[in-house]
Amino acid sequence: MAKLGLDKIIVRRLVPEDRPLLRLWLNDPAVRQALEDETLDFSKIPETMALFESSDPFCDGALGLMVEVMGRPIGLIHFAWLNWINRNAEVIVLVGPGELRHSLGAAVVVEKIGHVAFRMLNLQKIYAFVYASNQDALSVFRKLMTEEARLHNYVKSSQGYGNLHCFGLLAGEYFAAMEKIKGRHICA
Amino acid sequence: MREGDLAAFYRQFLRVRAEPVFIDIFKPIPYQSAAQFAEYFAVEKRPLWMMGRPKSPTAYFGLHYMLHQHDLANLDFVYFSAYPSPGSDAAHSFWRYVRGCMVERGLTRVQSFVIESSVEKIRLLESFGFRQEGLLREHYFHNGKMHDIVVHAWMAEGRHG
Repeated sequence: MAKLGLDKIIVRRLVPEDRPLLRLWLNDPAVRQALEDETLDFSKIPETMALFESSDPFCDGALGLMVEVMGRPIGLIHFAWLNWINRNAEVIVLVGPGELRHSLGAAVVVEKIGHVAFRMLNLQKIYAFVYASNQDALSVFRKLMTEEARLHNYVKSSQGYGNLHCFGLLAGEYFAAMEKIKGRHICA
Repeated sequence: MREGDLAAFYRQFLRVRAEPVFIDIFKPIPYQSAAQFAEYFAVEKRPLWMMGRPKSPTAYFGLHYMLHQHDLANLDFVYFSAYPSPGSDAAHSFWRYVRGCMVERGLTRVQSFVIESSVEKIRLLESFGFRQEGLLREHYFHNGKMHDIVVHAWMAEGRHG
């Protein structure tokens, strides 16, 4: 993987101007199929987008952020179920469709998520839930996080039942991993 | 649960904090008021059953986070004193009643999140046929430290792959 300048990648709050692009992403069948976000109601996309923009992590327990590479939005990071006593949250990552899915190294995305979670929000742990059918995401998360639970036959679909994989990353693990990665894949 | 029982449950909830009640894990509000407590359990999605006399309940169980599109829910139960022994009549009748409530709602899978130190409760769950599906490390803050949470699930026969 080529070295990526983290200064070229920013994470920012969503703004109303992001809505057309976000609508496009959320209507993409591949994105919908891979998205494990029970807080997101596809029948109420305008309301969901408004929530992403206005979410107050302390009042709503949620925070929507846009990932931008050299000025181009490429994905959404959604912190949901922020729990300020247990100091954990679920993170949902939505990478835009098509070539956007391959435009960014997974380690960089995790670095950005970890930066927000552990360096800014002072969380202790983050979770990611991945459907068994989403093999790409599974192979990425297996490298970067710890698989803590496999919920068997959790999801019902027209094809039958599918598993849901639960991954966890502790703050200490994130900091240790970043020490190893820095200098190899990422230049800050 | 009948009207008025919630007050008794709330009193027990304040007393029994050695193990997490579902509301602690997913909506941890320190010193939760009776109104907040009632609001949480008033939602139709979280039916709640009390066992024992209304004024002095011995246990409760609840079905939370019901996802009808997947026929599943989270099962939470707490015995306010000791848990019945696995295989005992009390354990059998409890599980028979819980399963009846699940069948009524069309649930074919329930999962339960239990603090790792609650060994009696875990043994009881496993005697009902629950299987361990994972361990959430350092998930729950209680009494000044983080605790692991064990995830168990039970599935109806037709749901096993």
